[in-house]
Amino acid sequence: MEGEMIIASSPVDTGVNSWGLNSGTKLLNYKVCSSPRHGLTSVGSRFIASSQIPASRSASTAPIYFWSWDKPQFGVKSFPAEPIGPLTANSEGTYLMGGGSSGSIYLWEVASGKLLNKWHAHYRSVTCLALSDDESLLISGSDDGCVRVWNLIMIFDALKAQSGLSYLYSWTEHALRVTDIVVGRGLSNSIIISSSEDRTCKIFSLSEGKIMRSIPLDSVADALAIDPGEHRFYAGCRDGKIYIKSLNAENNPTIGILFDHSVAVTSIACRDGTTLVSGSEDGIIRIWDIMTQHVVRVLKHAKAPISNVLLVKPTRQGTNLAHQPPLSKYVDSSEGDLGRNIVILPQPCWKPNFLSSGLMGRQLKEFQENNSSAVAEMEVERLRIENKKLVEMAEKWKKLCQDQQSFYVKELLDHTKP
Amino acid sequence: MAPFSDYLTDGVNDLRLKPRILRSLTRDLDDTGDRRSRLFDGEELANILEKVQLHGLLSEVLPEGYAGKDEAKLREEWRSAVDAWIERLLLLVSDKMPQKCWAGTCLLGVTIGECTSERLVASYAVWFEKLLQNIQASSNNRFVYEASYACLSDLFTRLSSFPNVKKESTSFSGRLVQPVLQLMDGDGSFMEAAIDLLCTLIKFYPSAIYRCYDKVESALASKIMSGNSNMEALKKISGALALLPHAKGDSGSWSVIMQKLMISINLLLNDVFEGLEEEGKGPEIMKLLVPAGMEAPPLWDQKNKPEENTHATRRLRESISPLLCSLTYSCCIMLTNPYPVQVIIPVRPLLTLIGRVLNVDGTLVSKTVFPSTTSLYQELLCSELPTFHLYILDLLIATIKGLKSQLLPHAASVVQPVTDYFRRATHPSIRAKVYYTLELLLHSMGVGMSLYLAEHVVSNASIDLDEGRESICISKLGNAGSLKSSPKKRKRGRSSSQSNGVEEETNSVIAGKKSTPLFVKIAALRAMGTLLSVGGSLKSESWRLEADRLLINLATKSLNTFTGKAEKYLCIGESATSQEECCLVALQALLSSLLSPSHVRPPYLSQGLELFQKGKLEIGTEVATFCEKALLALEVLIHPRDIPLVNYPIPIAAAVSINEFDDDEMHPGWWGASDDEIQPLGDVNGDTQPQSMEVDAQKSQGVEQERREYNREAATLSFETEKIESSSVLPPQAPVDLLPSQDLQNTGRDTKYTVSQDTVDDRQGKKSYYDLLGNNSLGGKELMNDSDSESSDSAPPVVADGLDTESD
Repeated sequence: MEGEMIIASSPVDTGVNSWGLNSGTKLLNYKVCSSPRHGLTSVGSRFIASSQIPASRSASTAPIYFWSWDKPQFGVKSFPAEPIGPLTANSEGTYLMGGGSSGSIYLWEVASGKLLNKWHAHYRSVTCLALSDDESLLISGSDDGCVRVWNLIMIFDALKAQSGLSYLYSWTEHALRVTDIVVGRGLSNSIIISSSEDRTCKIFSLSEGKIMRSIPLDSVADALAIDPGEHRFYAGCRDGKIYIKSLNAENNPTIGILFDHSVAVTSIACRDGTTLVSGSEDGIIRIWDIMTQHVVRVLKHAKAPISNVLLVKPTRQGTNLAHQPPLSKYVDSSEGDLGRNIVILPQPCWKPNFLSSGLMGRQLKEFQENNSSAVAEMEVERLRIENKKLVEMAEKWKKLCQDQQSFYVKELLDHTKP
Repeated sequence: MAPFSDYLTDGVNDLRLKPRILRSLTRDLDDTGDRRSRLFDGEELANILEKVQLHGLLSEVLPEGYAGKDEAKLREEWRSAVDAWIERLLLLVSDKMPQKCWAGTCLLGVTIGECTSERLVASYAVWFEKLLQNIQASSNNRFVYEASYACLSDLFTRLSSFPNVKKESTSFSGRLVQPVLQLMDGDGSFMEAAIDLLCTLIKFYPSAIYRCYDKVESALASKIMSGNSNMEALKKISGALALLPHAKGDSGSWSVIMQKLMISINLLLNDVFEGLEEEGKGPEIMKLLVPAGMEAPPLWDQKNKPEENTHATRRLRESISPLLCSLTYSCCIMLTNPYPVQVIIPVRPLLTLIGRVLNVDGTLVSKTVFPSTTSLYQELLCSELPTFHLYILDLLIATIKGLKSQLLPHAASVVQPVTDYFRRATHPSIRAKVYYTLELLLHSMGVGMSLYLAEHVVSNASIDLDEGRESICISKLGNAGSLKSSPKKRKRGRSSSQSNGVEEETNSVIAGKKSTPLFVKIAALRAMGTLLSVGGSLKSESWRLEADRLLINLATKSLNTFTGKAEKYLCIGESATSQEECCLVALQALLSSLLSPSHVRPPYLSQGLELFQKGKLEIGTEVATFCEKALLALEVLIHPRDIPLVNYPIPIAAAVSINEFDDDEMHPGWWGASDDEIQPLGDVNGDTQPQSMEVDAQKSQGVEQERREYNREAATLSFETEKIESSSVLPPQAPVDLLPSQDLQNTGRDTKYTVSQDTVDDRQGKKSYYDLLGNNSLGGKELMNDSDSESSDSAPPVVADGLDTESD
């Protein structure tokens, strides 16, 4: 499996294509996928998950597919209670969160497929979801322009849930549909950037709980990416340009424009501040070197708009989805439901631990201190064996002496005889 | 008898030294002649061990690329020296005299760990047989037993990395299980060494254990349940029991052992807590552990269950307490150790069990007094209760560690009992452990958890850390924020309903105490530091100032104590090392408090800097090292700046951002809104502000220079390549050969053309765009900064340079 990969999907059925980021080689095509914007995600780098656009407007549900990295056919097909738009998972891949068209947010435990929680988050459909850097907060954007921050722990707190209003913040500065949300680093002091159809990007401060800046754009931004060093962020717009906006300057924050797409940029992803990947409405993916602002590579996904471009790093062994249960439809409120967690403990990797030299050191110390029964025992045993030896030796000498004596006596007698 | 007459040419580095030392050591091991007595004084043996390890005498490895002319000879010498050494050792191992046998076995163990792989594979069978004989001999000494088991354990550890001998070594390991089991059935002497061997076998040769899994399990369990080994041995046995499921390696056997452990704990508690807790707690947990319709696994029977008439004191202290300790220890190991497959952790029963123990505070709950619950029994239990709580807190800690992010759905139900318990806890070691638990929760759940825990951590830490106000800390805690129920209220509620007195007593303990033990302070400081770094700026208005004040005071005080400036002498139980640790932790927490952003400039920044400066002088201590790092970390806070990336390709645009920063209108941080709030607080701040400006101005000039040079190069490069590789889509950096052919086909010729065209257009478009931008932004600034005019000049050269290269 390649190191880092680009995966891309479309709103019409083109499957999910994958390429090696460094080589540009086309890898697998994961079959059957028509994913909505933000509907494609990699679950803990273990497998790909994608929500689907419902077959018709009246369809009451649309599936969510899981693909393992090495198989083109999907491994698991789940039917949530309603069509799911955006999907996101935490980095360990334990939870999968989806935003429904009714404005509900669903939270599944991946290992068991259980729907752990579902709550009514927005009045209109959820358009994007993002997790904060420590993955304890969930930020959701909605069709009505509302951006809300949820404390996931509070979502599960039965006592607090009863009192209602379980979100941490609710920001209503956007006038129209929120198109993308990205979250910076910095734990409680992170910033959240959102883009909207009202042709602005807004920067919110998590710690202050309010909007810090509003950045007007020439066009509607459908995609956002943030530089890992948080110098700037990128806004991919419908006019085909990717604006590079400084996060530090207030007036004239535009510090560059990546312009190569002739049609709307629909999705972008950024890696380590040097490479940007963008997908556009004509199905072309461009890889940019941000430093030189050049296109380094052009990849062709399909003759259809791109809905999602992601940079992913699959785990080496991948996951066998054979035992992966599908996501359940409803919250099972029975007692046993929350009581048992399926937990992936890390793979054992035993480090050789040699005992002898340590033990020898300890025993030597004890031996030299000469105060334990074992030492005494050993000493006794030694003395006994030595004693035995000495006795034997004495016997031998005694015998020798006797022999010698008898010899001399004999000799003497022999001499005296003649 | 010296085999060489030549001198060492390289002195101490001469490799020929090694075989020679080894030969002389082998001679030292020889017990014939005069040397005989030296082997028995221990010092000689220690000397041999040290020499072998120091010089690496057994490795037989010549350095990479060793090209002495005598390489083959040296190898041969070394090999024969090791041969002689091992021969000597084997003679010793089978010697009747325990001392010699012991010395030989120990050194053979060291040899097994260090010898070459070829040697090991060639002769492990012989070694194994020799060692096995020693184990099976009945009259052996403890030293010999221990050394033999350790030696065997090392042998199998090492053999496990050779797949070609896996089969044979597995069959060898099978022969060891029986002697180990026999040993455990016996009186339990020498058991610890055997348990180590058992653990090695479970880890590396699970198939050997698999066949007698049940026997091993019952042997280990009965040892634990009998509870009459010493604590150290019990821990080892519990560890082995926790490892045991690895022998099968499936999810089921893990769950069964876990279930058995928890049921055993629960049954034990039923017995102990009778009358001291509400009824029905035990069965409730049982119901969770064994869901309806499932059968409980056969339990381990408690072998020598203490007689009913055993004195209750002895029963609690000698049998129940160690049993609870080893059972919880086993659970902890199982929760935190890795396991090859997914397992189902019964979180709800675990948390209920933990809650059950933490809820018992030694007070009687029911009016009907049980016959077993005499006042004497209550007294005894209360004396053991803190130990029980410590064990169970360990279990909670292991649960948090094991579950990681998966604790999320249960997080709220963990926080509630723990914080409730914290309010009641007075025992120092318990408080320290609760702080650690909270710290772990903060680490694992991050910002979301800090919203829950902040008030609790701060209010409790202010009790433990604030020495000056200890007498009023109780009322302070009562006021601290709108806690759900203040301890004062709790106290009143309790004491009115029961005339027990325990609660009142605990309060007076807090109030009357002179100072908190250092280790509690250290734990509190760590928790504070974590809280500040995780969630120091999120909804922290209510507690932030108090926390900052607390930390600066404590850091000042502890640094003074550490450097000996304070008049305070060491209190009882405060060693100099723990003073240093306390100082270190206090400074770490202070750094978190200074760095953690609040919406104002850190109020104690100047004092903090001064402290770190002072601490830095204590050269050679951890404190000094840390202070230096802290000063570096704080430097960014003193000189806030926005340095654009050096090799950014567009000079004007980058210059704009610098100019904007230099301009007073612009805020150096992320956004301008909070600009007004930054007020110089002290003299230090007032001084540093203008300085930083100057520095930045200089820096920006330097950066500017560099950037311009870089851009000239970049522009040259890109223009050249575009010209040369006009048929390729690829811009300069990516080599053409990396481009897959199908992509080229896919994009087609048109696209290629447009792409390169676009890039050029883009460049031009950008230039004009930024010209515009530059002129706009230069409007009012031209006179302010030299770098402005320079950078505006620098715009044309990019193009000019490009043209130059073209003409070249």
